[in-house]
Amino acid sequence: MAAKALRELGRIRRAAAAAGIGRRDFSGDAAAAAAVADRKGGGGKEVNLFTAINQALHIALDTDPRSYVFGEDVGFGGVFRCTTGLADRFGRNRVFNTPLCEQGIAGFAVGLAAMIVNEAAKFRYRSGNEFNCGGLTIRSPYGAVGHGGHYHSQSPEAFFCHVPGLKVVIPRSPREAKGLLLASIRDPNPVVFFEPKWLYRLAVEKVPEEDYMLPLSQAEVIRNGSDITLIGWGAQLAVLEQACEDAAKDGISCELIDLRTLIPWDRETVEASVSKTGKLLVSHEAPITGGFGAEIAASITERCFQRLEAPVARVCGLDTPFPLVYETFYLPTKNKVLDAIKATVNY
Amino acid sequence: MAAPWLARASSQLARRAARRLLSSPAAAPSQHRLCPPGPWLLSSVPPPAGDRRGFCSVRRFTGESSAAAVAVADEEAPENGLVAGGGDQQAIDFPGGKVSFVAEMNFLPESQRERINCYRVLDDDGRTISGSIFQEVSKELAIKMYSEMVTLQVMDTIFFEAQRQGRISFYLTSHGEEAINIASAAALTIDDIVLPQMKNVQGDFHAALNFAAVMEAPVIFFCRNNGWAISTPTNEQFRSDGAVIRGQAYGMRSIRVDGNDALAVYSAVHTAREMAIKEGRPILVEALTYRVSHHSTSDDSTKYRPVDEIEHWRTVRDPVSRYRKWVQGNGWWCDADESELRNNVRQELLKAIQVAERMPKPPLSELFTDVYDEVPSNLREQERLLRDTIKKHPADYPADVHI
Repeated sequence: MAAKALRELGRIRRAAAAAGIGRRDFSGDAAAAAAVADRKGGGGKEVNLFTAINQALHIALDTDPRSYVFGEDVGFGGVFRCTTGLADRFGRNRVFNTPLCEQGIAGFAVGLAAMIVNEAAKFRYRSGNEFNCGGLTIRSPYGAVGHGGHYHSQSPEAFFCHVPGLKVVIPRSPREAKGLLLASIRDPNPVVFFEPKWLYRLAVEKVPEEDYMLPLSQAEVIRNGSDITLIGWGAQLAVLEQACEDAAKDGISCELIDLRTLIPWDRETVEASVSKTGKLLVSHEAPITGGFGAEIAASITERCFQRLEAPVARVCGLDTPFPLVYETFYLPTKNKVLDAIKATVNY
Repeated sequence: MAAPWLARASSQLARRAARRLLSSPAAAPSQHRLCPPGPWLLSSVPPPAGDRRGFCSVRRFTGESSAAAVAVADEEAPENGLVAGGGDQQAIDFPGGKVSFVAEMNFLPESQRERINCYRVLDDDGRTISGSIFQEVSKELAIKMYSEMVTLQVMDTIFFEAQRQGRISFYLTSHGEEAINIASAAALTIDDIVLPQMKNVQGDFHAALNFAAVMEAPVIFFCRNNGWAISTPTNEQFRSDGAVIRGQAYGMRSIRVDGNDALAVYSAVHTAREMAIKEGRPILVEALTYRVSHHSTSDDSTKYRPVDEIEHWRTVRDPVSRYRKWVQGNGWWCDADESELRNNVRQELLKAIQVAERMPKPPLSELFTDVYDEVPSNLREQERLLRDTIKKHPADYPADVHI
C-alpha cells in the first residue's frame, strides 16, 4: 500500500536523477583498497574488514585468558558485526555489554572511575611506572561512510594524538586491521584503534587465518616512486592509490606511504622518502587546521628543509562540521589530491 | 589485555588505601574532614541549598529500609558521643533537617520490596479502570490526539520504507510508543519549551536532575523507558527500579506511568506541569513502554530479542488501538472516520515527499555558513579553493547542489 505508492514515486525520481551525478564512487574506491592490499600477496581467505577484526578478537581472547571485550552492543555481535560469536565462544564473563555510558566503559577498563585522557594515558607517568594501562585497546569506528552526517563520520584522531601516553593506530585494509589490532592489544601501552567505517564491508582481501602481528610505529611504503611522497592512513589510502595511478599516466612517479601508527609516528621512513623525492603531500579526512597532517608537515619541514623543493601540500577535510548533503564537497577526493600532486611537482 | 594489570592494580590500590587508613594517626580523620576532596570513603557531604523540602522523602525511604536490617548492631556501641545511648528519639540537626539516631546497624536495601507502581487510566481493552483519576479530555482534544497518533504511525511506515529504498539516509520510528509522543505533547502549551533528546541514562541525566532540584527549576523530566538501548536491555543498563526511583534520590517528585495509555500519559504530564509551574519544582515522569521497532534503520533487533516479545507488544499492548477503543467507546469515532483519516494522511505524506524531493538542495555556500557567526578567513579560503576544484572537475560533484 503505502510502500507500493512510495516505490512508484521512487521510480519517477530515480528516472529524473539518472542524468545527474551519483554519490562518491564506493566501488571504485573499494577496488583501489583491494589493490593496495593485493600487492602484498599471501594466503588466507578473502574477507572484509569487520571479519578480519572479528578474527583478531577471537585470537586475542583465545591466546590470553585474561583478555576481555566489553562495550555497547558487543554481546550480540555489535552494530558493525565485529564482535560476532565472541560471547558464545568465550562466555558472558569475558564478552559483555556495558551500560550505555562511555565514561563508564573507559573508566572500567582503567580500573578506576576515570577516562582515557586523564587516567589511561597518564597512569604510567603519574605512578612512576608502577602501574600502566598497557593491554587496553579502545576500538572505535571513524570516518566517512557516505551518509553518516555530523556525528557518525568524524575523524577525531588528532585529538588523541595530542595525549602523551596514548598510541593511535589506523589500519587501511582487512589484513592490516587484523595484524595491527593484535599488536595493539598486546602492546604494553594503551592504544586507540580507529577502524575506517567505510571499509568494514567494502574492503576485501586475503587475510591469513593464523595469529600474526604487524609492528606498531612502523610506516609502510606501499608504492615506490621518485617525484613526490604521499602520506595517509585508513580509508584515505584508497583515494591516494587512485591518485597515484592517475598521476602515473601523466608521467609522475609517486611514493605512497601508509603511516599506520599516527603516534608515535615513523618519521625516519617519511624523512628518508622525502629526502629522495624532495616533495611531500599529506592527506586526511579530518579538518585541515590542527589535523595530524600539520604535525607531519612541520616536522618534515624542520628535518628536510634543505631538501624540500616545494611547500608541503595538505589535502584534507574542510574546517566545517562533517556535512551530510555536502559530503562529496567536504572530502579530500582523488582529483583534489591529483591537482595538489601536479601543483607540487610543478612548483 | 586489560586483565593483567587490572587485577594487580586494583588490588594494590585497595591495599594502599587500606594501609593509609589503618596507619593514620587519630588526627588524620579530622584533617580529612577539613579537605572535602580527600579519600573517597571520608569525603564530606555538602549541605543542600535552599529549603528542606526534600527531607521528608529521605525519612520515608529510611523508614522502609529498617525492615530489611542486614545485621544487628553491636551491643558495645562505641561511646563517641554521636550514637544515641539507648533512647530512641535522640537526633541531630544536620544540614537538610533532623536525623534520628538508632542503635541498629541498618543498611538501606538495594531496592524496595515492591517495585514502584505504575499509574494507568485505561485497561488493555480501552475501558477506564474504575476509580481512576484522570484529567478530563474534550471530544475535540481526544480526536486531535488520536489523529496525531495515527499520523505518526503512518509516517513511520512510509519513511521506514523510504529509507529502505535509499531515498533518505536514516530514520527512527516510534512504533509502539505513539501515546508517549502525542499525549505528553498534548498536555503542554505552545509556550512551553521542549528539549527532546534521544539519549540513554548517562552522566548528564544525573547532573541535570541534581541541578534542577537544587535550582527549583520548573521543569518536567520525561523519561521514556522502552526497555532497550539498541541491543542492551535495561537489566544490563541499570539495576535500580527504572528511572522513576532516581527522583527521590535527587529530592524531586516523580511518577511512573503506563506509556501505552494515552490518557494516563496526558493526565500525568498535565498534573506535573501544574505542579512544576505553581510550586516551582522539577518533576520526573517515567513512562513504561516497549520499543516495538528496531532501534533505527541501521539495526535488526530480531538478532538480540525474541520475535514473540516484539509481537506481543505490537498487538496486545498497542497504544493506538487501545486509545482508539476508548475514543470509539465515547461515540466520538467510527470505522469510516478511521479509513478516511488513514487514507488522507497517506496521501498527504506522499505528496509532501514529492514536494520535498523536488526542493533544491541548499546551495554550496551554506556548507561554510553557521560554523561561526561569521565566516572566518580560513573557511573563505577553503570555499575559494573548493570552487576552483569544482570548476576543474565538475563531473566529480552532484549536479543537484547549486554551486
